[in-house]
Amino acid sequence: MKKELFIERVLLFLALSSIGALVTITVFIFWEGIPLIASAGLKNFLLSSHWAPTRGHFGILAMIISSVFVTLGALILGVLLGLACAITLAEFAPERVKILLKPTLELLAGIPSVVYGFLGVVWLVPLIRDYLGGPGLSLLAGSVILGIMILPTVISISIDALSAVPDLYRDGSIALGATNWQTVHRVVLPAASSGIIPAIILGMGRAIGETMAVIMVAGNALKIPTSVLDPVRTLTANIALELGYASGRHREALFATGIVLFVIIMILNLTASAITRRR
Amino acid sequence: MSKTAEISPIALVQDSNGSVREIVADDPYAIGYISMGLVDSRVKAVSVDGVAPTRENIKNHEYKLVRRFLLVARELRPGPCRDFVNFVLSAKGQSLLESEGLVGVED
Repeated sequence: MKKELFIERVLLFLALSSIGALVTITVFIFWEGIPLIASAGLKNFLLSSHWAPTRGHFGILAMIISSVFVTLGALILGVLLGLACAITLAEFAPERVKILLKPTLELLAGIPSVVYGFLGVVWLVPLIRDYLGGPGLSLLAGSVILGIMILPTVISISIDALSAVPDLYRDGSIALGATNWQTVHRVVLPAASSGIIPAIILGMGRAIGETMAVIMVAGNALKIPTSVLDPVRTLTANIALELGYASGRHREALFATGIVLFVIIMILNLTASAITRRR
Repeated sequence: MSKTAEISPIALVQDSNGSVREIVADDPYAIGYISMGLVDSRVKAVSVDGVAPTRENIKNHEYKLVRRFLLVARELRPGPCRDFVNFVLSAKGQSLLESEGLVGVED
């Protein structure tokens, strides 16, 4: 009995320590970043696009907008391809194809982001520059690479959601004379939507937090983009590019950028879990 | 150029000399700055005011676009730190730098 209690305590401690890590990180980011937001003013920080940290200008609006657009672009591609792929695998593909394709798609998640970035620089960027114009390193390049990177997340969670829909629904719909496709998009998809929406939101969280691949293909210019061919700098890219040589207020400003990113991702995750729980 | 001038917000930024060189080598309209040691046959080093960036021109201060490389330490007491600085400044260290395409300190 004593032994059992002991093991229970150890497990509790281990469980708490992972939460402890999260709390430490949160406190640290806010501790480092809040002083700058307080002294520069929240409005000057969030609503100005003038970023010259060594001269006292800390506006990150351009980067917020860039992060949002790159993520939206990634979602358009990632969700369209991902959902199509998930529907095919869960509803139409024969068992043998499914067994082969699902692990292959999950392998996609194991490829390091540098590799995606490198492929982007070598193939995608020259294609965009030659056929569409601009410097090639662009919002479009970032979106396409991120869209591919979020595929595994979107696909595997969507497949789980689709498989969780009871066969009763499908049989009922077919019995009423609906075709396979009508069954999928009128009955199965709506029934699975509380699992598919979190899949999209988690993909979104992955896209907005991705750093390495984006630094390599997006160009990192500080302007607010006016076209998909413009180079952009995302919030994550800003932190990774400058933290190495930042000190004093500049460093604080990068932590403050981290706070903004943190808040955005928190909101996304909370939304995702709220939708899942509503089921 | 005035001291208050800022880097243009439309300028691309890369996180390493290597990727700047890749981009300039690939894009017919690009210009960028990297360390002289990394200039290779795919990119051209630009002359400034008609002065080419050769070793001689850099050593005799003819070429103006030069950035010095700094060694930093909190204090230079005898020990591995001092030994390293001495090595870099020694004939062997300097010839290694030169063989990497960098320009040694002038004497």
